[in-house]
Amino acid sequence: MIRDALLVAGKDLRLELRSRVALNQIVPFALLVLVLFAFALDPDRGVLDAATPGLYWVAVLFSGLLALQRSFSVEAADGNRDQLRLSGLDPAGIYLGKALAVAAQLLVLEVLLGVGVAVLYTTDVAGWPLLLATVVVATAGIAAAGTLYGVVSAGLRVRETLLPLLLLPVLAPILIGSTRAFEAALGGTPSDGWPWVGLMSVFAVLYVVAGVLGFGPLLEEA
Amino acid sequence: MTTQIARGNEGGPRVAGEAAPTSTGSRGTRILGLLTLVALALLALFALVLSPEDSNQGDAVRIMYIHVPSATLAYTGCGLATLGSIMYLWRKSQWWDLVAYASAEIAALFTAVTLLTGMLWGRPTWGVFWVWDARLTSTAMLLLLLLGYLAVHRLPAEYSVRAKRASIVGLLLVPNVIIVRQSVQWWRTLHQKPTLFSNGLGSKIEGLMLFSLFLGFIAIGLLFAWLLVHRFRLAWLEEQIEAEGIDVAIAERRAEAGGIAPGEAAP
Amino acid sequence: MNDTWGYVIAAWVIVMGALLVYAIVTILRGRALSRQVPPERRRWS
Repeated sequence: MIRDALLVAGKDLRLELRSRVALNQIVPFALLVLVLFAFALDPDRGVLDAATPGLYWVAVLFSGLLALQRSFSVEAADGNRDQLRLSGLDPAGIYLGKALAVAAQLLVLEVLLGVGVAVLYTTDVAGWPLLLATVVVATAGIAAAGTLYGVVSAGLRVRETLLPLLLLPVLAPILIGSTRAFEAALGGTPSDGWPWVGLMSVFAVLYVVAGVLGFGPLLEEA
Repeated sequence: MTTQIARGNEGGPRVAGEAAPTSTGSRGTRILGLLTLVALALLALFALVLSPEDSNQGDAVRIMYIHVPSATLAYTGCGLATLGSIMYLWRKSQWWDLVAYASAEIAALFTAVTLLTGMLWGRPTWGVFWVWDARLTSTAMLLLLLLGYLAVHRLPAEYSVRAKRASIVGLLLVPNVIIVRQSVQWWRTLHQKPTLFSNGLGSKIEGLMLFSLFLGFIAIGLLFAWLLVHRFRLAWLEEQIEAEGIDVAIAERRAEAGGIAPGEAAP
Repeated sequence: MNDTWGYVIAAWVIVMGALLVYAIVTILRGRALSRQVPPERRRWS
């Protein structure tokens, strides 16, 4: 299973390295969102400062959605779905692989966005361990849930509109948790943030389990 | 206004008689419908006329007699949807999938009712329609999650595809509701003092008010059951027609192909 | 106090109205569709 997962993740990442869609389109989009927030909220009156963690994670969610849709539109072409099934790879492995690839892309995106935020919004960081833990579990949660709902909406004509409707309410705990944890890490007391990391870990584990169990049946049909 | 509901289940079925049902009604549902109407009328009587006003909330408490039962049944429907989804994935029975679908739709309806009555209660009591309170927010999220499930079940795709995907979403419905509730709860309580509900309904309910609330649970519960049965049968009919439609179309296509092929072969 | 009654009446009327509409739509659709389905597939009676 692990071997299959690494195989699929490697395939997706290699595809990404060669096509550079994420790098050339999704990352600029994420940075664009940051600039748009600065336009919408007055940067001089501290509104932007107070809202930075939330804006950061909203930007991550929206650009993450794009990455997820990309990850499944790659499979939609040329009957790739059937070929994946015929390949004899473990469905759970395929799921983990796709989630890993999405997570890797998200991590790169988050680092770039983080640099962007730090530079554009001039943010100071107090608690590094909390910051890193939050990024890791939130990314795992987004990738795990996103991959599962991505395959639910994959291969349908309405997938572009269906995925956000399904995924964004589900990701609400991640948005709340990561924002609060970031607030704690940036300005507040870092110990406030750790329960949120716990909650997001539960979320991520739940979705990894659901994905590992549910991917098989979902891949069988269609 | 309660008498008007009678239109929902009188007339047609009685005329249609025994041979083949021409509606989603049956003898059982007619009795159930009658009981529902009686209970709703009684509820209106007790909630609006007989019960006293609350010492804190005044007359606004009369909204609570439909608000609280609707909220409870919305969660019940949500649980049923998840149960149905699990059973569908396990047994592959259409019956369970349709139970899940019907209860999710009615749960969405009741969630909307809960939100609406909550807002109309909040306005005279708190002075605002909406506060970012833990319960309000998580109920709104529940509605969105239910709408997501319904959207998947209504996809323009083959039944087995829709049903399987919807069941996965339905399976995660209750875990999602729990985890969203938890996060929202922390979100609000860590940030500001606990909710405005603390001195709301829980304080003291006695006598007639308690009885009215009890009646509310019965009436809304009966209504839920009645709606569920009808919605389930309607969903069953819909799926029958869809399956039938494809069968008919295939048969027509075959007949067409069969009719043309010899004609073309002749010359 | 009268103000409050307005909200109470509004809540009851809207909720009962919405439920009524939903019930009627369900019933009417059920009647329309059951004409198209052969009797042996309608398992209740």
